[in-house]
Amino acid sequence: MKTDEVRRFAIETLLKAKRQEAAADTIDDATPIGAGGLGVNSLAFLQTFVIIEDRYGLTFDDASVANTRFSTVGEFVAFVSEAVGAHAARNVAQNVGGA
Amino acid sequence: MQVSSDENDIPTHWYNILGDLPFDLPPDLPPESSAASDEQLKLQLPLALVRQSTSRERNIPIPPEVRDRYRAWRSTPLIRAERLERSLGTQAQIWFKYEGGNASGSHKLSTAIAQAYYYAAAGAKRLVTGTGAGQWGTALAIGCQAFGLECKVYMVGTSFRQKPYRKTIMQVYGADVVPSPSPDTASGARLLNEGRMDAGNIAFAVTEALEDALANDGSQLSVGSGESYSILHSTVIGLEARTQSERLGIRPDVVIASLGAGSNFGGIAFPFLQDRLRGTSEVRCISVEPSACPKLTRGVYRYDYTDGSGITPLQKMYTLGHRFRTAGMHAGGLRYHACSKLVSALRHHGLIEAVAYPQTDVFASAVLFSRLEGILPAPESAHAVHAAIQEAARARDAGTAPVILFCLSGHGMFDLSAYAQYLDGQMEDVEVTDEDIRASLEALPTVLEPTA
Repeated sequence: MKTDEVRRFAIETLLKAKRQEAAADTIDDATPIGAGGLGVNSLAFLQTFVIIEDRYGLTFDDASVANTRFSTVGEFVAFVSEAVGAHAARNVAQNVGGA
Repeated sequence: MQVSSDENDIPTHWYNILGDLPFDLPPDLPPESSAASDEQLKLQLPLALVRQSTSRERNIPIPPEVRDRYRAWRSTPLIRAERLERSLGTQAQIWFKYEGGNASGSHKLSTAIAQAYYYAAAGAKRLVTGTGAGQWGTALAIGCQAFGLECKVYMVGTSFRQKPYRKTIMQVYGADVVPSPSPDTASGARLLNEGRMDAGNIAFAVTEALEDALANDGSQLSVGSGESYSILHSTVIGLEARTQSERLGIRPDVVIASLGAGSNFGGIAFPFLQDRLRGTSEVRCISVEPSACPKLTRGVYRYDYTDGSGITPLQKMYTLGHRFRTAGMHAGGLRYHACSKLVSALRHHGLIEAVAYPQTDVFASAVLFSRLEGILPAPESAHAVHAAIQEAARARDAGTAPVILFCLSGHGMFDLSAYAQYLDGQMEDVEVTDEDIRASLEALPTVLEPTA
């Protein structure tokens, strides 16, 4: 799983959750997700996790999502990238173990 | 005739109609203001409920813990209103599914139990909600008690004072109940300081609940009807009715339910609509609304806010406008200005029907039904009673014999003041003019609709 692809998809998903279209290259890691930035509300933000679950076949844990601070795009991308990476690693380990 | 309760009738899965729809629902849109703050990113909904709102899986498993709680009052009886049939001189069969036989007195407990379970599983310690007449607050208090959650209810102040026993039953189940506006939140205290203790409504009660939930660790906001997941949980009603109907060898031609935001209607209608979507049935599903709040019959299919605050995400739905105010109407649960996006889409695509009736006609039918069948309907449920009577009378006049099924969604024992007003001849119908609706619709947000 390429980190760049996860990053691009995570940002595209966030952008779809906001009202006005914006080019992905107009935001960076410091862009706030909520006020003063993308203006994404909490429900739309939650839906982005489910979209990412569907894309990568993983399941986020409520506690880990709730206990992580998500103020900026960078924090969200880092969380998603780590989760997708860990999920892929588990799959590899299971495949090796089952071989 | 009555199909007695049998816990084996309780389904193991809820029915998700999204799995059978031949179209996609229009996406929600963020509010115009985009006033979200850091605090508003505090997550208020378990991911399981978010998944249920978007899943295309046709059957969603009911967790064993929820099903075990359902056994306290489910399955609910399916009853034939034979005396009513004879009274009307109709060949139609009239059946009703009675959902008032639980401590909350209404259908809302089916989703309240499920919601409390998912919030507890997601780590919540305390749920906060707003309630109008108190049915939702009662149901959630019971749900919280079942799964070890604290519960705080902001109850619209006028209802709080008019229906003290609603407050009491919530307290029996351990809820902390306060009138809204209340001194417990900054927004409530502001209104009280201005001497506006009667300024509350359901939208403001939910606003106070959200403020409370955001300010207290471990607390989350729970809202009642109309969300896709609350409709999903309510399908336990229609699934049971379908099983019971099959056992009786009957097949409803018409399914009727009152419409507030959608969980009652969708709860009984969707499992039957599944057969129509698959082409194996021509069942007619009819939603019934008060003529004082005629969203499906006279509203427009547009993007609007889901409450009166003007800060919620926008959903495409049938609406009278989020500024629409319903006055002088007793069915508090049917006052909502709009209808869930799911039920709205079905109406838009011609898959369901909608009718509206004035409350004096509705109460006349409720009194007739009560005297013949021995159950006092809630004012909301009485709308379905009235519609069923209209259908049965039409069948009589046409010489047909359809099977009519309606949901008696709750009892009216907390609504006796409304019945007293009707019996005293003091009840009046509320007239909504085209100008009233046009003026309200002017406040709809301007939205550039997403292209398909």
